[in-house]
Amino acid sequence: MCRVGRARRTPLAIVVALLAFTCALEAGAQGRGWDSTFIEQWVSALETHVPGTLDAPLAGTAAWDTDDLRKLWRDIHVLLTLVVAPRTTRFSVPPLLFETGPRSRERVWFGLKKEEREVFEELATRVRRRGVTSVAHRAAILHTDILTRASSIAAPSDAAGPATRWFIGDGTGIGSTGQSLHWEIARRVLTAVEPDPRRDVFVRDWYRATVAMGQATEYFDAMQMKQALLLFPDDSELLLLAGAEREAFATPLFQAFAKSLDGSARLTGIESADAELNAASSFYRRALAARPEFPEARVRLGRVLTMQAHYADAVGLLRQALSADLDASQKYLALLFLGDALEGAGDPAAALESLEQAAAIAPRSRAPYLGIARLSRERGDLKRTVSSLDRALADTAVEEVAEPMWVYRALPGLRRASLVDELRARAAADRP
Amino acid sequence: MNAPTLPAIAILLLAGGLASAQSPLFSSRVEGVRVDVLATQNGRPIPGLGPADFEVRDNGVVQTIDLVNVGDVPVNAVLTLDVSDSVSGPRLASLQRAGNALLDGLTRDDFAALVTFNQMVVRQVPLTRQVEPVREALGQAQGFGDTALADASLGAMLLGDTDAGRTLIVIFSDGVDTASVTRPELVLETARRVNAIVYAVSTSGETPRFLRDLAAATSGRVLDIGRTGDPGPAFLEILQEFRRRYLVTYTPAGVDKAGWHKLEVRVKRSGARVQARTGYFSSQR
Repeated sequence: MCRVGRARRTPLAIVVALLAFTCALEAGAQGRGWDSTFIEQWVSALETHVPGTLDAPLAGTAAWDTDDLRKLWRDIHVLLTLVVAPRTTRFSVPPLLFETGPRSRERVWFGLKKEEREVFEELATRVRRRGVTSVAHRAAILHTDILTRASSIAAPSDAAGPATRWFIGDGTGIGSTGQSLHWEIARRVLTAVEPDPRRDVFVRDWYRATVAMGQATEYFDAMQMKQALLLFPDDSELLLLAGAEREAFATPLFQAFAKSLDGSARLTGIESADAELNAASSFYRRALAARPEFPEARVRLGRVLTMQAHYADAVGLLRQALSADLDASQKYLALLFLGDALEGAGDPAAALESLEQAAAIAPRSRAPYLGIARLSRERGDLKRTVSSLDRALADTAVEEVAEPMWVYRALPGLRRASLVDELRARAAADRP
Repeated sequence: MNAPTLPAIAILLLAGGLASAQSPLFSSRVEGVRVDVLATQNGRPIPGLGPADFEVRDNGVVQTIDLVNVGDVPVNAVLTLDVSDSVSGPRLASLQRAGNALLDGLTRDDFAALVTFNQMVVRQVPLTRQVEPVREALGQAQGFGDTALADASLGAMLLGDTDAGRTLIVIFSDGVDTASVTRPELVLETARRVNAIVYAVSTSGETPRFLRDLAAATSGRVLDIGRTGDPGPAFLEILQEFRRRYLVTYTPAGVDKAGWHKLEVRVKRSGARVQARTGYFSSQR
């Protein structure tokens, strides 16, 4: 079981994360010399952290190293167990959510010493008083803020930990780091939401926001995506983001990276380009089934179908998308993709017209002009060929070009970039 | 390679003038088909071949060869260079030296153009006989951004698509395509139709399939110099090889003019190997 992420380390570099899932947590390792500091500070941080700010509670929690976070993981499990079942006397720490290594089935049962139990019972009382759901929401925001506001001091996992983030460039891995346990802790805590996290709007929106936030920086976290879909299999937004992730994995960039590793599919979860396009198509179709009026999914599915040479279907979908009320960037993409699909379907004249419409919508773009130049040449319109080529290859400063295709992989995330701030505001309003 | 009609050539002249005052003049030989041929024996170009040494079949019909040129037709060299993030520092410097070395190898009758690409494809200098602007632009190149290899290949081929002279596209890339908008198959389709030969220099260790297909479609070649290789010798090898290619011209006879024409070229010598396009597209009726 693996996880793959992709993000930009710098504006021009790429990060990929993957999980090896071989390291089960040391379940009862703290039986001797237990330190109440972590769980007590954590509960206090939940109560006092102002969402979205780099305040003292956030900085204190962010500074913990991987060993500290493993202890915290164990203590959170004990605490949440006692919140819902106060009489529990035997505990076993579960494996990480997606852990499938041989040690993941090992469960070590342990009890609590008297002084230890007293601390947990006091904390459980505080959590119950504020409501476990509210605490879980705030915990999710706390750990999200650590990873977004305090990432420079947040500890990554050790090399043998649950995740590895790969930086990739030009299709090959150029470095790796450990993956922080903060995401895992946030996911774990959200499973405690009552009565059922699968019916909790905040949980759903946290997954939407965090997946989108990652994709906005080209960080594709397949584990986060998978857990999101386990909880919300019919959520159109998550299905769209899942489709975008698989569409990205079909690109030469990810394909070349996967091939550069031995046993790539096992390690990275990236399948062949054809399989990834099939997966993307399936997710987009599910998104449309869940929300028939979802033009963004229709536009992206139209592109995937064109890549799969299903031109007639793509033309139909894209025309349907264009009949809806699209914003400028979506309309531009739909016309661009429609041009491609129409050419594939054997109608170059209509293809040219579609590309010209796209160019009219986004005159500072580049992509349509190359297509116009190529199609004009095919038609013997050499004057148009040259003028379009001039536009396509103009020596213009990068910042003066507005080309949505340059951020196509990140676009669904970018379009949802405000979700995390909205969640923070909701968590802040829910402050105990 | 395609055989445009007379009116089309008139437009082409106009278009060339719009593109650049320094664009080459265009040929008036519109009825002929030109096939660029690399003939080798034991891996080395065969010198001194004439019309009688070639056999060309157009859609299976043997053609009468009008003319065979070698080395005396001006070259339109379109340098198409990857200046993405991974091409920076010493690699960019060696690429700039390689580009200058190729420019040194051009004659006064040759033309040169420079196209650079990261996620954005830029025609830095259009086809010109004056190499100094090309050198200057080459010296100012900076490595950053993603890699739009297919888009750049398409742009370079369209830029160099002229009936005057012989167009050599030299593509240098050190990685996979991460940013192109154009589907590779559409670029390959254009490659089969334009009048240009693509030579690619790859440093990826494993040459991307697109580059191999592109070179093959135009009867060019890929030189993989490895991850740390110097592109300079490869660029010079390309230019030398290109100058030894034959330009075989014939007037199609006995075949329908419009549509795709399958080409078969051979040299009537034992052990001779031929590298040439497998066909061309004509819109002429």
